[in-house]
Amino acid sequence: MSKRLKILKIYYIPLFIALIIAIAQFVLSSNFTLTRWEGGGFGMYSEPNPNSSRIVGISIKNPNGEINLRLNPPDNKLLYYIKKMKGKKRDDWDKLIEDSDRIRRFPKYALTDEYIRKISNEVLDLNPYLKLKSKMRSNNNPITVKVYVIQLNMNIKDNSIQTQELYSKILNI
Amino acid sequence: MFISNLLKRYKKQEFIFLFFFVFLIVSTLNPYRLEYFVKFLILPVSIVAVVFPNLLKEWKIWLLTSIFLVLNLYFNYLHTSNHLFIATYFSWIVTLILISKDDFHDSLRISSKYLLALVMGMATIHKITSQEFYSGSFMSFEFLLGLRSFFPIILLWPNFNIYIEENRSIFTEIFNKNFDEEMIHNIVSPGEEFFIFLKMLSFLTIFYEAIVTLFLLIYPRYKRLTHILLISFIWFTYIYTNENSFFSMLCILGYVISYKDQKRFRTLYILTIILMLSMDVISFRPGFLKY
Repeated sequence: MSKRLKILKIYYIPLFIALIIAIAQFVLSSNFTLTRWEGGGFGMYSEPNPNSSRIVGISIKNPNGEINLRLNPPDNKLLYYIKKMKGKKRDDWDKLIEDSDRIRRFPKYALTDEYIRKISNEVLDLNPYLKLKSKMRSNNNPITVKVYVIQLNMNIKDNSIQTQELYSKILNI
Repeated sequence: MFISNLLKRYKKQEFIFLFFFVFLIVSTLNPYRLEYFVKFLILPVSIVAVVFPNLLKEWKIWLLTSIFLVLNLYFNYLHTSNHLFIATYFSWIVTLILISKDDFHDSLRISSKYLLALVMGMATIHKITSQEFYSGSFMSFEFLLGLRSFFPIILLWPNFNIYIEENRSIFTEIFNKNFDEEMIHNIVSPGEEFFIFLKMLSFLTIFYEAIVTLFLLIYPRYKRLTHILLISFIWFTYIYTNENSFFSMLCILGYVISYKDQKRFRTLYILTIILMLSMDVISFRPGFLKY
């Protein structure tokens, strides 16, 4: 018994925690859309980095119009408008883009209804869409917002890159 | 003169902790990997530890560093690189050993061995279970888009840069499309031999990681061979991956595992870190600030 107690040292605690985190990350990355690159599971370089293989986008639809924008990496058009913003508006957008990067890495956890509501309101408030917004709001049809994460999969057999929807969430606002 | 005087003050066995804190200072320069407010906490503590060598084995310094690193994991979980997870575990291990007052080098050697085995073991499991990796698709993706380079590829396919340029423009086109439906885009490649080459490279990487894990688990029997395998794995992978920070962390762990009985490898680990840092500084193979 005393020998067993000697084996269990206090400094083994970080090792047990490391093991638990690594197993949890493996389960999350295998079944719940977390990228293998992040989360302390040591799975980097076993699949393409999300920075170059995952895209976050938003689609806002209603019978009166449609908007499609890439949020991460941000569309050039979107970047142009963000750069022109100042003060709180700019901070809000920076935060939304930062959050979209989290969505890219772990969509199932990071993509929330609150985020969809915030981002859709901000997109509809952008200068080029203001007229469309009042048009969309003019009737009683709900506006359907879809935020999606696209995964690029390379297939070595037929030399191709396939785009596939990894995760998406739809909300009527 | 100042630096040489400073270096003389470090005991040889504690030299690696100096590198650990230098590694943390360098990590604070990376714009994404450490949470913004944590950088301001870690930086002064690390500088104090580097400038005052007598504090390198002070448990209070290690405890502070460990707490700050945990704060970073908590607030920056989805952006924290795997080498910073290792740094956090290592920092906690050192803190607890210093507090427990057990034999410092023996305890650190055993704990680091298991930590390294866990890292290499998990990396192997991820690669074995990733269809993209073992099929060679992942490597093709990286090389055909120029995200990584490997000199034998340039030697075997001298016009490889043409494929990279063409694939990059296809890639930009993919990114600028609307994704209402699933699409397939053809990319250009040097041909079947290229894929066979990358498949072999993928299998070799899995085999190397698995064998290092195995030898770490049976370490007492094959100490020398384990270090040879670990150092050669670091250099083999470094040829086609600029993961300087991760490799430096592996070197720090390898160094403490070689305490007492395998002293000759300590110089090799230190040299590896210095070489990687130097190649980073002269922008030959930048990596510390990139990942």
